[in-house]
Amino acid sequence: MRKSLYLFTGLLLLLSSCGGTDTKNDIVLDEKEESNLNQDALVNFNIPSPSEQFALIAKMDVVKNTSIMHDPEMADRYTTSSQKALNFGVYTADVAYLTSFNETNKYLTYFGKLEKLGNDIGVAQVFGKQLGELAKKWDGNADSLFRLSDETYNKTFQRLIEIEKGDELSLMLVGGWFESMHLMIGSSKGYGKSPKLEKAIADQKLVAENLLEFLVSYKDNAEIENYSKEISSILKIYNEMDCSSSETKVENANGKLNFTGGEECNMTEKCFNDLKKRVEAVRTKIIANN
Amino acid sequence: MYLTMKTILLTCLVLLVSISNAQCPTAESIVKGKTKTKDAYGVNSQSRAGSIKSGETYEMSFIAQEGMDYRLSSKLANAAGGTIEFEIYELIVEKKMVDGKETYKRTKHVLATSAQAGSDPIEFTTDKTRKVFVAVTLSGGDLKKPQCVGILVEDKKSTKLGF
Repeated sequence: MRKSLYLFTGLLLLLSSCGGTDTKNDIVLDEKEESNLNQDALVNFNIPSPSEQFALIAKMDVVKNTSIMHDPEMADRYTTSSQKALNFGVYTADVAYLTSFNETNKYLTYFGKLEKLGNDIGVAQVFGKQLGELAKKWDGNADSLFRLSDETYNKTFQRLIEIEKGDELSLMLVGGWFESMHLMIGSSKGYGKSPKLEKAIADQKLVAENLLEFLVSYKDNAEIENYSKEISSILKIYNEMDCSSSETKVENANGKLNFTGGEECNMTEKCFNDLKKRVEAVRTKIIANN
Repeated sequence: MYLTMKTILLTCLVLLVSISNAQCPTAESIVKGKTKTKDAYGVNSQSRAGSIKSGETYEMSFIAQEGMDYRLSSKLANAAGGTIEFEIYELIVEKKMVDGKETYKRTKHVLATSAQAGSDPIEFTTDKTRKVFVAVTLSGGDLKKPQCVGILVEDKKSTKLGF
């Protein structure tokens, strides 16, 4: 498994675009001040699974909107390995969304499509007889199906690493992340009416940063390079948010640490609308079969 | 014919060796072994395993979400392979003006270390979603032989969801 080198310079350049008056020529990294960092460190960047991202969505001020999920019938129309990997990620997010809202009636249909695409991208081993049987056995049990979705995602992730299919893994993560964003934005009651959800969408900036870092190792694949540019453009939109920073504090409460403070960002209407537009454009490209 | 067979066998041998060296067991199997203790925590998909040599550091970054409790543990697959220490940190990016130029400074802010926790896992919660780094350093053991290290991230919904 390849790891990413620190590429914060790129992210800092993205940061600098905020405000619109800065020029790249004026930005320098203060190397002297960075002596406490291990410059040669290889870092393995990770993002939460769609199930983990949707773990709390049902408790937020949202509208359940399963009508915006991807059409499961489309799974049979994808022909290239890239399309299959991207849409495997898309359906993973759809399945996580369904179970997070206890919507189990469509689960088997979506799970069947995951199995089909999974077989096509080389992770048939993940979907042994056992998983299919469990999906049927637990049909209607949202908590068990939620865990099953997460397990399927984890096993697929691990299997793609084992068989060294980093390109497919990257595209799966891209598809999953864009579908998660599409579902989150589509669950909003409208800007200003779902503040908890807006906070969660604002937090996705961090996920996008780590996803971009993850993709760095696979940029020799033109499609991954292209999606990296799309994520960069989304990070630029995120810079429209109102952010403030305070010192991070660590408190120990009976052996459990509590981290407080740090950077806090609030969604703005422009950022929300721009994100919506850009995410929809990229998602449309991902689910197309041409 | 003999040469072709020899070449194929040699290629297979090289491939087998490189595959066995390249991959480590999952973080869950390294850290938990065969023990299957059940509690409210579940394995987070951002858990990772990798190989390092003595004196090297393995680093990973994961997203810790608001409303979740986390438990972090790290172990070597081969307990006799050396000693590991780990720290959890975040990077703070500060903007300042130096000679009229906008300058960015990255500062590593250590949040917790294994030295503080001893052999226990580190449990934490966060008031907001944050990007966290974990650095595991291996010391002692065979200087040339890479060791598999697992970083197990577990999570559960916080009792107080904060929503």
